[in-house]
Amino acid sequence: MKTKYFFTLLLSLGMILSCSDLEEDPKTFFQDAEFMQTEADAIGALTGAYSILRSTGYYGLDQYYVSDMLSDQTVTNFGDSSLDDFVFNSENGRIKSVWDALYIGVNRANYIIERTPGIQGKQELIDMVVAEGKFLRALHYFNLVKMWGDVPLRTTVLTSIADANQEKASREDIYAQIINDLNDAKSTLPDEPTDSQGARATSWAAKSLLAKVYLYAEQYEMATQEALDVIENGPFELFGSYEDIWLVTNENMTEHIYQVQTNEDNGSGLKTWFAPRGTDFPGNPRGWFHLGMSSEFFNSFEEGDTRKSLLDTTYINTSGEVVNTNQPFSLKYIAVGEPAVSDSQHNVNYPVLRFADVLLIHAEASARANDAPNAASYESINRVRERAFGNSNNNLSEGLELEDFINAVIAERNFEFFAEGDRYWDLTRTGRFLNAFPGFPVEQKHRYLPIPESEIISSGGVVSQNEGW
Amino acid sequence: MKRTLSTSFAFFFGLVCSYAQLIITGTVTDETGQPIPGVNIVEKGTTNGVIADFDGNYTIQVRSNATIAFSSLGFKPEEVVVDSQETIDIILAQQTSELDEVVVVGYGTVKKSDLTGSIASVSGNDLNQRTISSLDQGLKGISSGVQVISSSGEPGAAANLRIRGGSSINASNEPLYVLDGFPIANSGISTNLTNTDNSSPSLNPLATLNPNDIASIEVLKDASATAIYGSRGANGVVIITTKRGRSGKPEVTYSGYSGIQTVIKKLDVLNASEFVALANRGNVFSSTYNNTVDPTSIDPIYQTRNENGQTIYIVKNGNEVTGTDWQNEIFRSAIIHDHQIGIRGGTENSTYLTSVNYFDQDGVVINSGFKRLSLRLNADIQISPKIKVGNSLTVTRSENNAVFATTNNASSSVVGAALNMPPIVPVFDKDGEFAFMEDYSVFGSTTNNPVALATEPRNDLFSNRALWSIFGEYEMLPGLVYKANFGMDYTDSRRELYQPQSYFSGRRLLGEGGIGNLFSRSWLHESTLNYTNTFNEKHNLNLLTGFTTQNFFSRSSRIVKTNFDSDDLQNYAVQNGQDFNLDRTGSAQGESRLDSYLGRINYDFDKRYFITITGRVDGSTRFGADNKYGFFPSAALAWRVSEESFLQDNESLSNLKIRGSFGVTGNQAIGDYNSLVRISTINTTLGTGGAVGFFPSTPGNPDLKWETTTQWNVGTDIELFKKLNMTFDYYVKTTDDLIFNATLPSSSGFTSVVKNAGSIENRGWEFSIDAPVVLKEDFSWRLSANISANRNEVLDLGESDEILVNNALISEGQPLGSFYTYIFDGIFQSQEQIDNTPYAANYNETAGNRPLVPGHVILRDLNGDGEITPEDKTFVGDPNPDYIFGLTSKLFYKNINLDIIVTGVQGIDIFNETYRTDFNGNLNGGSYILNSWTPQNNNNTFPAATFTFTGETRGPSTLRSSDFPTNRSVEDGSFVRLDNVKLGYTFNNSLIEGIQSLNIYVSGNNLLTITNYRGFDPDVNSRAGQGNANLGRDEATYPRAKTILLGLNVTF
Repeated sequence: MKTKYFFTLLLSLGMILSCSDLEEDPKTFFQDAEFMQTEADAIGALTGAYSILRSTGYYGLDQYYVSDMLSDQTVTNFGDSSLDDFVFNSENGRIKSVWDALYIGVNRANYIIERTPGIQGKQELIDMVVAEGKFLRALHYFNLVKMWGDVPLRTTVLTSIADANQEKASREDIYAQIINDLNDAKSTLPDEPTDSQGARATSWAAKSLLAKVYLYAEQYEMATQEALDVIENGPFELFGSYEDIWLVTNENMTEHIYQVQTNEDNGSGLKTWFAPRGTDFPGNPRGWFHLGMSSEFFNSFEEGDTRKSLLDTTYINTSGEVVNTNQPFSLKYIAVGEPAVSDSQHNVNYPVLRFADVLLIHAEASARANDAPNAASYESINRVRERAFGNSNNNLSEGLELEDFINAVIAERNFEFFAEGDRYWDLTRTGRFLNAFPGFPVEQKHRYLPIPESEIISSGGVVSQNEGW
Repeated sequence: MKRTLSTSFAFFFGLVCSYAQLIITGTVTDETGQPIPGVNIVEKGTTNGVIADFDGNYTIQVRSNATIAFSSLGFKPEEVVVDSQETIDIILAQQTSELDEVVVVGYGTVKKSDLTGSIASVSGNDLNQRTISSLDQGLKGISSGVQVISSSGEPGAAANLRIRGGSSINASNEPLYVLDGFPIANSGISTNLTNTDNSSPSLNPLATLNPNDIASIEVLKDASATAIYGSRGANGVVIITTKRGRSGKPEVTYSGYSGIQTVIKKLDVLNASEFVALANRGNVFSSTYNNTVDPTSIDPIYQTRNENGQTIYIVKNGNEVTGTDWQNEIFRSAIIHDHQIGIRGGTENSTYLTSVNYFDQDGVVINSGFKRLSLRLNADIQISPKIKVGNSLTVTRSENNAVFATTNNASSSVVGAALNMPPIVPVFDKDGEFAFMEDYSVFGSTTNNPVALATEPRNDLFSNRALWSIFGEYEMLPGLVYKANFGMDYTDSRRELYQPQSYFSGRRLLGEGGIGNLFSRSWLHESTLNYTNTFNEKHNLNLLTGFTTQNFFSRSSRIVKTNFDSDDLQNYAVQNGQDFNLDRTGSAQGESRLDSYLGRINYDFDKRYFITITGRVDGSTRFGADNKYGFFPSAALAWRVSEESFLQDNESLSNLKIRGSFGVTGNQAIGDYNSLVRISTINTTLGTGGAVGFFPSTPGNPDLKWETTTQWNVGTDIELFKKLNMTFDYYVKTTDDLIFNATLPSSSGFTSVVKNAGSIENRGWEFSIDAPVVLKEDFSWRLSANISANRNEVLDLGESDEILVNNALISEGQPLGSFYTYIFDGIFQSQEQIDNTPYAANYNETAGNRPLVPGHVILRDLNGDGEITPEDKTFVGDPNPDYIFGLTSKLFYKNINLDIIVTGVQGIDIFNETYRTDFNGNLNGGSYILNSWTPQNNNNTFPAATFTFTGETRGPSTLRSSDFPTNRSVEDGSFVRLDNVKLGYTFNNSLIEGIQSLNIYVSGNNLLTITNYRGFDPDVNSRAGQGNANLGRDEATYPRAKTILLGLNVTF
């Protein structure tokens, strides 16, 4: 009979093993309901929101990769020549990568804007996190509208997958949202970065971005006004020399208004994509050289322009030999003389907004707003030129027609911001792209990028393709 | 004396009372007069029974006029009516008809003649005819409806099983494996420490089980058979039964083999002379395509010079080389051997089997191999006539010395690197160090030195597994048996990785070392009640009900560091690495549970009309909050027409059964936590130092549930003349609610979500025949053959129309994994032809300094819009086979046996990525590229060789095949293979004292393959771990070996 008890025991043991309900209890990540309770959670989510800027799809690489590959400054021998040659289509992986990163960024920003007010914490902290979320959301949407034009506008976190498909909103609505967010952000954000290293947005970053947004939205008076605020009231000035901008020791100061941060443990991989191909570059074990600079661009610098010193065609390799690369390369993301973070990373911050940009925004916007450049317009552009040439001999003389002045500003931006992902969008917003690439199949459709094919398929066509693609 | 006395008493009382007790004694023997131990002897209609002892003797007390039933596994049962005998000696005949064989089904056994479902049985002998490292490989070609696809020839690699086609896109398509009643975890053992460039294959979990211990395998195919496994039954169920002890004297066996393996073929790639010629030709083409440069003015890229009858190639930096055959450098003849010692025996009440096995297989690629040591102990104890307990325990240790062989980037797998590395690079440089490509090729290091990649890194996977189950059976009432089963499955594995700086991948990381641990555990409890009875002689009823719960837990951790000062201490001292690889350092944990309630009714009337009804309720933690429990029912009917009176006397038709079944099964292989909204973390920085960020990474899906497969099956079993058996089945299997890692529009803020959408259909038929052609005393010849056809079609993909996965498009109306590319339309032969091609003219006009020129590939502008866009792609191939078949021949002549297995696949396409169609001077390619287009050679298949790296001078656009995949990469992968030939000789047992039997054999595996496929082997599936959308890809996979071996089986 003892065996009977034994079996009863077995049966009840089996019941015990299964007595709990079938809920999952993950140990290695938070579930939604468990998170966003405390100030620490809010800062964690804010960190998560900033982190998208460093991702491969964004400033980590592809935002520059696509923008610069499309520009007339680069020629590729090793990279995605479909972008370089204007034969890319809606299935381009780099373009999709940027699109994905920007919207994931929007989502993370929405998450903190939406959920931070519900935490247990100080109101100032909540307000600041929300304001930073708005700055980030504005930055993402600005990149989206600048690259794609009309795009879906989402300002809340998706709660049910049934609502995943959303139609595109008009450029005007996107710009209105960006401007709203930046106005909110600039009034709440501090003048000095909360983090001494400048990783977090300041009111000046919001104002500078707003100036640029107004320029792209062709609201020139507002652009002038915002830029002037930064120029007159902000703590910024240009570095003495152009090379100083790129020194690791000069990060987050003087001219830099907003940079995406790197440090000795979290580097930037950009240099491998710009550095000469091979493994013998000093302090640079690996170079892919996807983004080579064009010789035409290299040769187009004016005599005496010190900005050209950030380009080169030769280097001294690890064996001490002089190597001719046959093609100019950009030194901006190569921390010469600094220890590498890893074989593929250097510790050079990613540029987003710097004072020279604000000056040139002001020059252009003030000229356009008045249908002619005024003295302030000249002053702004000439501050940039004086730094570039080391003297005022090459300053732009007054008396230019609006068109010539704008041409001068766009040209100045070309030399000032090469390899910074800016050039192609200057060409598209001003309509110059159609004539900027002689011999390449550039058409009106290239005003904007194609919406990634996967977006159209996965939304069942709710997100429509851009015109011409 | 005492026995006689009691017998006399019984006899005496028998005269007085009609219910008097008789005491019967006797001996049970087989037809040869050998006693049979352990025979069950039961007085019919009562619970009174005994078991024959070791020498077949028994004593039982019964009523007069009782009927005594004798039964023993493997023998025909006999019944004797007691008259007045005191002694009943009985001879049991061995069972010969297949119909009397017992088939293992879920939670029980059924006589083959009583089956209502579609189940294929494979004996352990047939399974082990080939040398196999795991049981999945042994099923190839010998079971209808089962497609076995090799993922890799690397020792220890998994094979993929598809029972009746693939029914899922993202969830697993592998069947459920049930080992001695324990549903075992079957996800690949992988703790990947490397990046995507050099990934390591996961270890086949089945390779941790010793196939020599297997007594039989049952493959459950239709819903009637699989629905008892509910949410895990949709891909079929493979039930594995291990060998057990038997009563009798201890029997010791040794079986072993030793053999040599070689690659079945080498690919014909350019040798150094051809490579240099083509590079120089490409350089001329790239430099002169626009007719502005005189071809004769171009200096060759690489020079040649003859010295003492040997050709010397002068390559980059004046380095002189003689050429390398990289395949010769990485392939080798490799040893395989296997040794097993088994002991079994028992008394009438307890039996045991124990075995120890050592398996050691070197790979045909240098420095790869797999070793396994396994132990088994199976024991059964009949505590009393009503109570039985048993135990199955196996413990294995395996060591997998892996090479980088599975990769998305062929240049970083050893085999891929051997095919890609230019032959102008030597193995070693002048200093005797491993050569780097950059010192010989003007392209720099774009691929790894294959020999260094194979031999230099440390990449080992150690795995310990213990699988233990115990069961107890208690016959509570006559016919009512309670069974409790407990089991546990523990696997503990560790991967060791070190990439030194002696080759390209290791150097750019300044050394990379890591350790990964994976622990997984599964617990099982099952309680079942089984009731069997016969009413009114003709109503046979069997009822089963039960409850089971199984818990799965896994925990992994890994650490990877780079930047080592010295390679000496490798990853034994990971602390010496200066940088963490944060992406690959961390830990994970997962846990899930399945609570189930099951039931089955088997009823037949007079062994003519059969009905089976099953049902299972599965509750899983993995399902979303709104769908925690699923119900999986099935029903089947069978009619044994041959038992009807009008056929009963028909001698020729000994069995005719018609079967039909319908049922619902599920697939819950979706991973843990997929229904939850997940807040993920990321290592980042906000200025100085590191910081951890949090963000929502999935939107969650409370509706997530199992995939639902509805299957109809009709079939028939025919036996003619009691020896020729045929089985035919036709099925339609529709899977709905596919578990999708559905792409979300990124503008929603999330890129994907796991959800249920869409459906897939598999329909097909299976036929198998088993015929003894000759059956004589000293000569017999038995032939079995099977053929199956399955048609797969994606019926619906939910809201999305199509999913592009690499070069395959999952699209409604198409089979899963259909290849989708541009159409190759030849080569532009002249400028005139280009001018007349609308898209080319368009392209030429606007493409700047990269015009199309003669020698380029022509793509078909399918939609005729004058441009080449993704809309010009179309379906160009189907990786699902039309037919799979197998043929087995078994021939005995006196002491000689000859076994042959032929397998084949017809109507299958392979996307061959080892077959490079263009040459740009960088990587090596097939010799056929020599014949590529030149102005003089109007080849219409291979575009002009180019030399794309010329600094600022840009050649014509290359239309690289990776940018513009075409149908040229799609090849017919049909094949017929002489899979195994085994010739054996059995010595007469009188030959050597003490040896009961001795068999020696010579066997050849994978001897001959007839195919048009140009890669190593058409039996290939490079992306096996990546689900059904990536079928049929050949990315320079580790090729399979041809094996010749010598074996020995001895029984003492």
